[in-house]
Amino acid sequence: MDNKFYKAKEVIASKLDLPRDILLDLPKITILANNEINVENHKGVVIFEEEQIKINSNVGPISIYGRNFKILFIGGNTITLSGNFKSVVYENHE
Amino acid sequence: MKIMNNFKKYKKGTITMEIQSLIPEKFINLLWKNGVVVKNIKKVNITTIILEVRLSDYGGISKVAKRTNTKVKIIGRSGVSFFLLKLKSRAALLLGVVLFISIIYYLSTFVWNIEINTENYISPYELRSQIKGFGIRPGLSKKDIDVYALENKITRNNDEIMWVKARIDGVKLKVDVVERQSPPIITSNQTPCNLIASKDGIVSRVFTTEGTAIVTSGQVIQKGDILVKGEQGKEGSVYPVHAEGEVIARTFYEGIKEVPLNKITKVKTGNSISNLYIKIANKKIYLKNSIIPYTNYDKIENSNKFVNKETYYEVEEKNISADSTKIIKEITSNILKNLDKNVKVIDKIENVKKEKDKYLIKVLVVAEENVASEGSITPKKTSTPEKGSAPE
Repeated sequence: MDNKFYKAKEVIASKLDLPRDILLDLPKITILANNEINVENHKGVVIFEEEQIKINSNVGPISIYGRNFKILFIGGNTITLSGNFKSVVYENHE
Repeated sequence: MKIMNNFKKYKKGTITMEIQSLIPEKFINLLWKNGVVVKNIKKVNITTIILEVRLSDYGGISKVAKRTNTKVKIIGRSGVSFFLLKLKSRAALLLGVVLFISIIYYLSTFVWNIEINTENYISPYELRSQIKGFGIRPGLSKKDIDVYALENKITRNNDEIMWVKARIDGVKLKVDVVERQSPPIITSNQTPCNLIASKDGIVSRVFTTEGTAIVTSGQVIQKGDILVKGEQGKEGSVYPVHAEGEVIARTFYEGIKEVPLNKITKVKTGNSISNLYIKIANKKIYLKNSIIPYTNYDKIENSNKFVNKETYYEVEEKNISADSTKIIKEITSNILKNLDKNVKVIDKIENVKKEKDKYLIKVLVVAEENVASEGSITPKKTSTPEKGSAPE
């Protein structure tokens, strides 16, 4: 049921050419060079370690590997990270 | 609880806190879910993180901390709120600041200094004392100073000031002065006066530009006579003026000299004889003596210590007759020497009279010159007492 509703939303969004990220609550990830990432529509921080940060989202957890991590801002549904990134991984098992 | 509520007022304050928990991510997530904005989260080690939150969120944070069994340690604070909190405990300081500002403001409503800029001739000191005289001095309230009235007063009291600007600039009263460049005075004296004769003479021409001429040409004038009267207008409506004009008169300069007809002059012929003598007790003992052969001679004595010398020079008497033309020239040149440059010599009348044994030589120089000079208009009616009225 939930899946159906989601799919219907997806269809409407594509047909009406509406922004999908808002309609479907998808994470919008903005990466600036290798030292700043801005994730909108996240679902909380799962892991915050020296060399890895895992952020939950609607499309599964997103892992960011690197060093010197710092969460510049967390509030509402936006999170901004800074540090020296190595890779960004979508850890979706589906 | 009370303290928490108190903190809600301070929205501008930021606190930096150190959190110790087994799973700090959980704590961050809880904060995020409770709507607490968290900034600059840094991991120190596995259990410890440092983060910045707003002071107003402190209540919520401490609740979450209690629930998750987290140690919260505040390690830093910044923002206006903390400054205000500090000030609350230092009311005296605040009072001092307010007092200081208000005193400065109060004092700035007074004029403390008068700055005067002048040009060439008026001294600032002079103007300063004058301004003082108007009642404007340092220490007066700005409200009490009407700069426009001051400007008017200064210009009215000083003829040599053309323009003045007085403005209050901060705590200074600035007075800028532009002096009047007065044009040269062409007619220096406009007070009524007469023109009087400076010399005796006969009037030949009269020119007047102002005033009424009394003398006419041909009239004999004496020194001190009024030539041009300092009044104008018809009879009955006479008004005084500054008489001006030229009165050209013939003036006379006379030189008289008496010269004997013959002048006897002695002329040395060149011959001489000398005697030598010694003088002892008023007695002359001649060493050399000779008979003097000359009829006319000059005798000159030279006295030394012992030997005296008499020298006789032969002299001839000569008769020189006087030269009248030479003497006339001498007299006229003497007269002309004393004349002014603007005196025009018209004529020279030479008169040589031969008396028994001498010449009487007269030279009369006739000149033409302006004899008018300014004299006061006050009539000297009673300056000389009448002869008849003084019998005693």
